[in-house]
Formats: sequence, C-alpha cells, structure tokens
Amino acid sequence: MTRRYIIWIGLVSLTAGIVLNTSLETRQQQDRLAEINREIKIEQERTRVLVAEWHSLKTPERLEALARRHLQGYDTIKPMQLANLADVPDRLPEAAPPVAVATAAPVAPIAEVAETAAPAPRPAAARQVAAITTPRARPATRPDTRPAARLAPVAAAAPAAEKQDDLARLIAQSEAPAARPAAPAAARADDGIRTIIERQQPHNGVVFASTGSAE
Amino acid sequence: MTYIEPQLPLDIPLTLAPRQGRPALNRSAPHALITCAQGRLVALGSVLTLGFLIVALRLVDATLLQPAVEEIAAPVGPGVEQPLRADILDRNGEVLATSLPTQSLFADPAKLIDPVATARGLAEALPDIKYEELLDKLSSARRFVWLKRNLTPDEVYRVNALGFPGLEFQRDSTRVYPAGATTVHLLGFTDVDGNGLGGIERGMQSRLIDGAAPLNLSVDLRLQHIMARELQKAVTDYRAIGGTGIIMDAFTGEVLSAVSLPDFQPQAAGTAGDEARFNRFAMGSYELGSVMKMITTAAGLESGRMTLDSFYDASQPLRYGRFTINDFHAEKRWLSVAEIFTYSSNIGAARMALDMGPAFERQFFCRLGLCDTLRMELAEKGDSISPAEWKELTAVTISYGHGLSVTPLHFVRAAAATVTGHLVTPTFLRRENVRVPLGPQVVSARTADLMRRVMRANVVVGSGGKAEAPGYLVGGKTGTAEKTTGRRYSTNANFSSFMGAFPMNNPRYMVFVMLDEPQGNASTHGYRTGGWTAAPVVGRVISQMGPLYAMPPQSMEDPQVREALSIDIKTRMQRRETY
Repeated sequence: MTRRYIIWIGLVSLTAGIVLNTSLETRQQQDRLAEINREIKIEQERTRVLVAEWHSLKTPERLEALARRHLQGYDTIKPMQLANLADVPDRLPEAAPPVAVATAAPVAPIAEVAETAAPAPRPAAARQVAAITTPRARPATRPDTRPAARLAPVAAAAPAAEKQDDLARLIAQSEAPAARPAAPAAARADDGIRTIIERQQPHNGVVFASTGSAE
Repeated sequence: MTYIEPQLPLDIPLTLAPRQGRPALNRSAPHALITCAQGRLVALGSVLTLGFLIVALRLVDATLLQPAVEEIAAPVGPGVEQPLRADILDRNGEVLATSLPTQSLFADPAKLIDPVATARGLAEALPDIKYEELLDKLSSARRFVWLKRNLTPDEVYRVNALGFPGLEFQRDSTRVYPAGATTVHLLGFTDVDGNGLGGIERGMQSRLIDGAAPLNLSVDLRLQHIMARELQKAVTDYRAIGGTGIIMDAFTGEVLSAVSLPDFQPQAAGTAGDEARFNRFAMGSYELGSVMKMITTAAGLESGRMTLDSFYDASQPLRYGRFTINDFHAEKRWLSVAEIFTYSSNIGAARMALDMGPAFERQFFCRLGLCDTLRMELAEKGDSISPAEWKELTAVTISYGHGLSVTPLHFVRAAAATVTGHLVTPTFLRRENVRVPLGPQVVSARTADLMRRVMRANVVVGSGGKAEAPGYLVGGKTGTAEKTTGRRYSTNANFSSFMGAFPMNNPRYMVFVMLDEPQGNASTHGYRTGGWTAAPVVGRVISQMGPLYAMPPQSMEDPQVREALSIDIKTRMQRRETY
C-alpha cells in the first residue's frame, strides 16, 4: 500500500519535473527567438540605410562627376563606336581552324571598337570575346566544306532575333537572307556584343570607352 | 483515535453540523453520523476530482492541442509598428525613394522636473532648435509635444546623454530620395507624417502606404539624369525661366524621363518657390506653337484633301478678320505641304486648316487625345484647354499651335500617334517590353509613313537641323510659341520647343524639350527659336541615349533607310529636291 503510494508520488513528481523543465526550455527558446527577431529587424533596418546610402553614392550625377575627375583621356561612347556585325569587314581566312572562325573572328573587330581601342593583336581579342560569348556546341561541329555555314554567326538572321531587342532586330534587318539557318548562333553572337556593351557600363548612365587618345 | 461518541452528553442536541431542517439525531442511530460524514467526504472528493480533471484537461488542451503561435509570431520591439512606406524604383531597379526608420523626440511636460534646465540642455544638444521655442513647448500644459522629428543617431545619443526625465523617443520614418532634385517633380515628396504631396507619392499614395512590394516606375534614372543635365545647361546658357523635357517610349507609352526646371531638393520643399514647385510637364498647359503643325499636317493628310505635294499660297500674309498671319521665315511663294512643314509656314498651315475644315480638324485633334484631361499616375492631372467652339478662326490659329493649350505630355502622346499610327496610354509604371506599338490605331499607316519622312526632312534640311544626332536618324519639328502676357501675345517672350523622334525609320522614342523664355546669345546669333535653343538639347540627349541603349547607328546611305525616309519635296520653281 505505502509502496504503491511512493511509486505514484514518484511518477507524478517525475512528470511534473519533466513538464516544468520543458516549459522552462520553451520559454528560453522563445526569448531567444524574440531576441533573434529583434536582431533581424535591426539588421534589416541597417541594410535599408546601407542600400539607401549605396544608391545615393551611385547616382548618375555623382558617378559622372567622379568619372570626369578620375578617368581622364576617356570619353562617353560615341554612336560611331558601335557597329553592326554585318559591317565588320575582316574575316579570318578560310583555312583557319573552324572553332576560331565560328566563335571568335566575326566578333573580334567589334571588341576592338567597343572594348579596347588599343590595337590588340587579333587572336588575343578573339580569345577575349570567345570567353565572353561562352561558345557551346555550335558551328564548330559543322562540316568544314560549307563556307556559308561557317560564316553563319556573322550573318544574323531573323527568327530567333525577333525575341531579342532592337539591336538584334537591326542586325537581322541589315543581313543577307542567305544565312537564315544559323539563327541561334547569331543570337548568341549578338549576346556577345551586348555583354561587351554592358561591361562598358558601370550600370548607371555613364558609358565609357577609351578614345584611344590616352594610349 | 478513540471512539468519543459515548462521552457526548446525549441530551444536548448535536450542533456540529448546523444544517437547518434536518431532524436531530437521536441516540438510537449512532451510525447515522458516520454515514453522513462519509457522504460528505465522497461529495467533497468528487468535487475536487472534477476540479483537477478540468485542470488536467485544460493543461492537455493548452500544451498539446492549442497551437501556441501567437506569442512567437507577435511583433517584437516596443510599440505598435506601422509598415514603412514602400520603396519606389526606376525601371532598372535603382532606388528613387526609400523609407528609413528613425527616432522622433517628444516630451511629456508634466513629467519634467525643471523645464528651463531641460530646454537649455536640449538647445545645446540640438542646435537647430531655438531655446525659446523649446522652453515654450516644454512649459505648455499639454501632455504631449513633438520636439523634433527624425533625429540622426548622433542626435539621439546626445539627447540620451542629457538624461532628463520626461523626454522620450518614438519610432518614426523618414523618406529619402537618393537622386534628389533630379526626380523631384516626378516623385513629389511626403510630409513629416508620410503623406504624399504631389507626383507619384500622392498619386499612388494608397499603393505606397501598404508597405508592400516596391513600386517599379517606367522611368530610367540614367535618362532622367541626362535630360536634366542637358536641359539645365540650355536653361543656363539661354537664361530661360525654366524648361521641361520628356522622353517617352512610342510603343508602350512608358515615360522614360520627365524633367521640369527649375527644380528643388525634396527635403527643402517647404522653402521652394512657386516657380520651382510648378510641374511643367504634367500640370502646365501651353499653347505650344509650331510643333502643333505635326498634328495639322497629319490631319491634312488623313482628311484626303491633300498630299505632301499639294500647294498652298503662302506668297503673302493671310488676313483673317482682324488677324494677320505671317511667316517667321517668309518664303513669299506657293508652298507644298512638305515645304510648309519643313519650313514651318504659318500661312500654309492656316490654309491647310481652312481646306480640311474646322470640323475635321477638331475631330482629328480630339481623336489624338488633345481635348481631354490626361489622367496618369501622378497627382497632377494635365488639363487641355480647348475652345468651346471650333470655328474657322480657331481652326486657323490652332493649325500653328495657338488657341489650344495642352500639357507637354498630351502633346508627346499625340505626336507619337502621328509617327506610329497608334495612340498609346502614357504611363509612369513599368510595362512589359513589346515590339509593336500598343493602343488603338488612330492614324493610317500611310499617313504615319509620310509623317516620318517629313519629320526627318525637317531635321535634314529644315528648321530642326540642330537636333541631328549622327547615326540615329532623328526627325522632328521645331516650335516657337509666343507667350501670352495678360491678354496679348508677346513677341519677346517665347516657349521654344522641339518634338523629336528616333530612329525615324521605325520611331521608338519620342524626345520633347521646351524652354520657357530663352534668350538668344552669341552662339545662336541672337535667335531664341526652338530650332536654335531646344533642338540642340534633343540632339545631345539622343546622341547619349542611343549608345546607352546599345542602338547601333544607322546611315542614310543604307538603301533600306533611304527607302524608308527619302522624300521628294516639290517646289513651284521646277526644282525637285530629294532628301
């Protein structure tokens, strides 16, 4: 009888102890949660302040003033420094390896115009652009016996370009219709130009390219 | 424990259980007491059991069944917090307006120990508030006075360091405009309580106070800056009172830039003058002058009564009632419609208006939205002040831009319709990119094609030459309107403007610039006309905007461009000029 009572009392105390412990722990966790929430909020507010500061530091007005002061010998891009792929006169000779023809050659002269006014050697510029345009499986795999296909990336064509914006469309307009089949590659080449142009823009209205006078 | 019952004096009635109405126990039933006590114990026991059972059930309910989320999800931090006003972003995600949490200082004068010392201390900690003002507030009988809104963290520290009782902080927020004055007319500003005053801040107030996702505008901060810079340069160079510039996407109606000068810093809105506060692109209605000949010419071509080769007599001034209509650059001969447009002949435009008739002119102008109020997302709405009766004389003056007042936004929209054929709904909110013009077709494709040609010719050989931006095929029309001073038109005070569009073979962007009372200078040979003052601004803006938008230059030598834009301008002198 007495032992039974003791067992019961023991069990009840144990349960009570566990419940108490759990509830204390819960409260602690809640406090921690509240603390973390508070910290998150403070951090968020700090972030807001930093974002606001960052955006007031990179207003076009300020960037322009800084560029004028520190980038002497550079000037904003002139319209004539942009070119259509179609207007590019030089192409690598037929004998060149197909990869080079397919990826690099067409875009290289533009790299010279838009990116480096310094007369970089053709292969260097070509490699640079090839890196930007991320060549995937493309005309390189085509048979070498079809010159039209090899020149395809230069000769942009309509269908895919319609999804691009003005640049691609304008390129497409001014192109020979003979090269239509190679549209996707052309669109990628167009991306290449865009990449170059975007690299020239510190995102905020001030477009700089070397005028060449500094060199 | 001993059995005590025998010791009870049996003749005394039992009073241990003072229940009323019970028959007294008699000595013949000693067990009755025990039975009664047992019954009570059972009753008490069951009540207690029931009580504990309820507690236990409630415990199970509270710990296991009820989801205990409220406490955890409840907002942390002191006080009830209002969500911060939503940010405003430009089309590329640049922050144009954002809200920052701050602290505001208030006092409960009843809790102050020494108002004089407190005021003195505060005046030292917050040098921008006067001691007298503080003392006045702190001695008031109210229980709540604002001392300063939106303190800097440094100021909060200094006030806390004073340690005076009765001074308290409340969470507040302040609105920050990183681009400052550049976007002020567009965005408007807010008062200290976060109510939008003017511009987008007021026009989109209910959307912004939700504290929801940021609001994406159609405006491009880069273009806004370019336009503001070039316009400011022109205003300074030509000593103009002010000016306005708009860039609109002719396909979507998105406003990419809208500048009004003079401007002001949004935080100094209270001290800005009326001239600076005035929004010229959305609120000002102007008689725009010769740029309106774009609409007149399109109307004439649409009326079917003329072609670009129709001739009108501009050999001498046109008398109409007591009015005499003159040309600025009088050619004193018969002019074709193309020449009237290119050389901006008032006489010719007037004769065209008379030919098509006032009713048709009115119908066409109104179809292009020039007769209605233009409602946009701004608080300011642009009124059109059109004549009640569109008589012949009205039609004549409106043909060259007098007698009908519209806001620059009205006009840019109508001008876009003449070159694309479609009437867009202008907006300050970002839209999806499209490849074809939106909106109903209001001008035939044939007329729009001819308009593009004459507008290009106006820049190549006509009055708009200074708007040329090499490679971008700019087209447009100049305008020099006489300002009304009182009830008269002044010949000395002009609104000089240029309405440009590019690339003219497929116009995508409309660029409008207007200067308020520019003065000629040496570089303009004293001229203050639109062609000399406003057109160069448009040219400079376009030649910066083109490369920014990666638009490759086009050449007039290109056969396709030639085909799209060439025009034969016939003259009566047996001379054909092809451009």
